Amino acid sequence: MTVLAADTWGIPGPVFLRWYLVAAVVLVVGTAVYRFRALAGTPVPDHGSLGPQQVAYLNGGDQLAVWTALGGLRRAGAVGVHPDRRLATGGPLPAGLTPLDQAVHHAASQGLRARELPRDEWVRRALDELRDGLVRRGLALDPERRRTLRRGSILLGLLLVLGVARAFVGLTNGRPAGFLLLVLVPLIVAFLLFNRVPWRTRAATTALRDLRRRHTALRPAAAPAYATYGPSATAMAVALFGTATLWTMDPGFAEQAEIQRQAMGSAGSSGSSCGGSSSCSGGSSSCGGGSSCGGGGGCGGGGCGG
Amino acid sequence: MSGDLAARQAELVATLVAGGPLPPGFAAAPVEAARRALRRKRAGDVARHWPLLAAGLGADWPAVFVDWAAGRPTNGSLRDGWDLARELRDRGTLPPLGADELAWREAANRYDGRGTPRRRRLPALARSGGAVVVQFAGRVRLLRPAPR
Amino acid sequence: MRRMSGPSGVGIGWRPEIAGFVADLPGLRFVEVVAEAVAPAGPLPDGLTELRARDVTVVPHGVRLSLGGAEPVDPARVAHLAAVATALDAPLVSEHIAFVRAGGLEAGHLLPLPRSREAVAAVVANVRRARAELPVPLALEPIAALFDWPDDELDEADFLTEILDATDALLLLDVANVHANARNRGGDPAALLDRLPLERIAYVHVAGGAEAGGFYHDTHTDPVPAAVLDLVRELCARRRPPALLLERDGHYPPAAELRGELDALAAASGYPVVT
Repeated sequence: MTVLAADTWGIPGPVFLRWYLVAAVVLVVGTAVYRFRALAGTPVPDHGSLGPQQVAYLNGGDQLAVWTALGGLRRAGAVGVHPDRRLATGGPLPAGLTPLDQAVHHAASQGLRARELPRDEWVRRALDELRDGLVRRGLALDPERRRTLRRGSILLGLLLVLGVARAFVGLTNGRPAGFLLLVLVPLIVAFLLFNRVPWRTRAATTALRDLRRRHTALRPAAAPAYATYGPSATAMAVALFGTATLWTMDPGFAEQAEIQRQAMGSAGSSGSSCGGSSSCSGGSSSCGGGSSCGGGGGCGGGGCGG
Repeated sequence: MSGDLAARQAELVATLVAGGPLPPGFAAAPVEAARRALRRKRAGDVARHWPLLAAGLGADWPAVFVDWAAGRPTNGSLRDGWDLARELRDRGTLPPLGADELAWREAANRYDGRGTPRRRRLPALARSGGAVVVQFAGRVRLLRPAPR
Repeated sequence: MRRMSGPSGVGIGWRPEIAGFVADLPGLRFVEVVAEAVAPAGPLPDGLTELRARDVTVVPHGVRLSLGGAEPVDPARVAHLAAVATALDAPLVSEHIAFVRAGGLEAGHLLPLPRSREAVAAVVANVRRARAELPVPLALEPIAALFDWPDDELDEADFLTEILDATDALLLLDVANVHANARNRGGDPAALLDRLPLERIAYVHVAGGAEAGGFYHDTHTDPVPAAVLDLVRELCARRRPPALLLERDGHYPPAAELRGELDALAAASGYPVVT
């Protein structure tokens, strides 16, 4: 068989394109199906059975789980902070602590700083335990499963490199490569999409959405009365709505302990009580003017008469 | 002693919130107690609109606010806190948390000190007391907190 | 949606800060919401929508209408209150016998009126103006004040009765205010109860307060004192009101304490516990 010298790599364009397309479709469909199955997870029959730290891990990984434990302990009065930013412990140890609570409490008693908590050995171990439990329940993905999921995108990447190389060589030799380039565009999109491997399953995402809806009263924009809701609900507020909860509940502690500040959603409508560093996601903040008296705000003793 | 109820009500409000004299016939001590209670209530209202400013001043907050508010009728809690924060900034006594909050508000809104603050439509960068805040398309981010 | 029934049993003031606590009260039939905090055009706060779905009565409570102002009541404020009442399907709305602004200045607070015929006329005129625009009845609440005007012609009971007789308004009696006024301005609170038209009470407010600087302050941020609960019992012994509502506006205590206050209210009035 005579090979036309002008064919890139000796393969005619239509032939290459055909096989390239087949490979691309097989890879994309295969990866998509595998991902769809692997990320489904196990639906949670009762979302109330998820504890705040589990929810936090699913929502924001290790770091948010640590902030959540710290938020619960702070609400319970079990941790404080020194002016030099080192954590401290105080008050009686609350009942019903999780292993992560205990590890964070222990780290606080050692005078660690809040930002050092995730690197503490006990905390590390408690976080691994937390994640393993969630993996077993079909809500989180273990590192091995995440590596497997990445294989699809790696193969796609190799295919992309091949296609780009062929198009480049072809174009420099004056061969048409329009169809190939057209195929490359969606392939790049697919590659970028598959390259993102979440750490939670779709079942977990559903559970989070449901929990957020169920706990709208804990949104920082509502300036929730954390003392009324108690340590566990406060921890859930951190888990669902992030560190803005800590900044809303106890700005002095949050500042001194250098709790991470969240990016802010809306540009704070006038009349919202959202603080400089709290997340004001809800545009229609209901704070401000919400009381018939408003003697509150730590400045009691004011008359009300309503 | 009846007559112009409107004028007498205005006189009483001025006594309570604008440093006006005690209207004739009123008992001084109870009116003074009401005046204090009103100022404390106002301090609480402003603290709810400016939680970081109030937290930054800590135990000093009620005294700082009441001192500033004496003889100054309210323009609403948002503007009251804003005016106070700017004054503290100019005096160099704005606490870092308050500086963060002020810069954040100024990046998000335009406030001329006289009218209602308006949300900014264009991107903005605001600094106050070392805090730097950017706002783009309504998203606000603290680039650098005020130095502690 | 069908119109709600009137306030009944023990209720609590709904505030965004404690919306989750209020939502978890299983026996709750009645709450009140600060009217100025509700934007009737937009979506209602989630918590209120949920309560309405449970057929809990929600009463809008205005605090800035200034019905006692010498100037006519602001039509925009009345329209807002009316719109909130419609949005919540409220069976009635409530406001205060007080003024909150005058001469272009906001007091930021409910201020007492002179107990004079001139003041009665001013309130009555404003209540009529408001009633003309409101889709539901209006209940009027006498306030707590630390001071009196020098030219009172009437005593508290006559003052209130004249206003109620001249309008078709209902009475929203704040038992804590009765206690506070008796404590600060003198008088026997039980004797006042004997002279008020108790049959016109739509519901009752109960709130906490604290002593400071020689005065009793109706703070809404402190526990309900025993003396106020005693007065609730006195009132119920004379004529039990259809509903009693706990107002708390800040320094919210742990849930157990707040439930304890609601239970104490139920015990004092003989209504079923809502917790």
